[in-house]
Amino acid sequence: MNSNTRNSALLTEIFIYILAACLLVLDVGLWPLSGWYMKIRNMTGEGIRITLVVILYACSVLGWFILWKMLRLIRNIRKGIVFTEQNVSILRAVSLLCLGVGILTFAGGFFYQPLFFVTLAALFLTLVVRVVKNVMHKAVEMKDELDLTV
Amino acid sequence: MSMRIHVNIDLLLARERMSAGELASRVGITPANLSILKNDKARAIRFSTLIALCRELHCQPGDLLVCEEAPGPDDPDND
Repeated sequence: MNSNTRNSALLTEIFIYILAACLLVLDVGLWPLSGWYMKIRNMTGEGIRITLVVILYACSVLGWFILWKMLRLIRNIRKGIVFTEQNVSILRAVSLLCLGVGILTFAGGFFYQPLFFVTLAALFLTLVVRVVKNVMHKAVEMKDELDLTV
Repeated sequence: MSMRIHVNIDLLLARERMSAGELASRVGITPANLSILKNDKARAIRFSTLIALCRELHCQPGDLLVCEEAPGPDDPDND
C-alpha cells in the first residue's frame, strides 16, 4: 500500500470518528434539539415529538452499527486485507442497515412527511452499497482465481 | 462425471532426479506456488511457467498435464 492510499484510508477512519462524535452529540441532545426544531417549524403536539425522537433514536442505533461496520472495513483495508469474504459480509450488513433506516424513516414519514426524503436517500445509499458489495464479491472471486494462477 | 487437470510434477521430478525446491528456483516460482501445482490446487498456469517447467523437466506440456476424472468427495486423496 503506497503512502497516498494509506493516508486516504487514515482520513476515512478519522472521518468515521468525526461522524461518531456527531452522532453522539445528536444522541445526547436529541430531546432538546427536537423541541427547538418543532419551535422553529411551528409544529405542535407532544405525540409527534415523541414519535420523531423514537424513530430518530432507532435510526441512531442503526447508525452506530453502520459506523462500527465501516470502522472494521477501513481497518481491514489499512491492514491490506481488502478482497475477502469478511469485507463482503460487512458491506452486505451495511446495505441492510441502510435499508433498515429507510424502513424506519418510511414509517416515520406517516407522522412527519419530510422523513420520506430521508427514506429516499437511505434507499439510494442501500442501492449504492449493494452495488459496491456485488463488485467486491466479484473481486474476491477474481483474487481467488489469481492467487491460484501459477 | 467431473474432470480435472492433474499436474504430473512428482513423476517428472523423480525422472530428472531433482528436488521440488530446486525446480522452483530454476523455474522462478515460489515453493508455495509449486506446491499448489503439485497438489492440483492450481486454477490456471501461465504459458511462461509452463515453458519454464517443460524446459527444466525436459518434457512436453502433454507429459506435464493430464486430464483425468476428479476424485469424489469421499476419496481420501481429495483433500
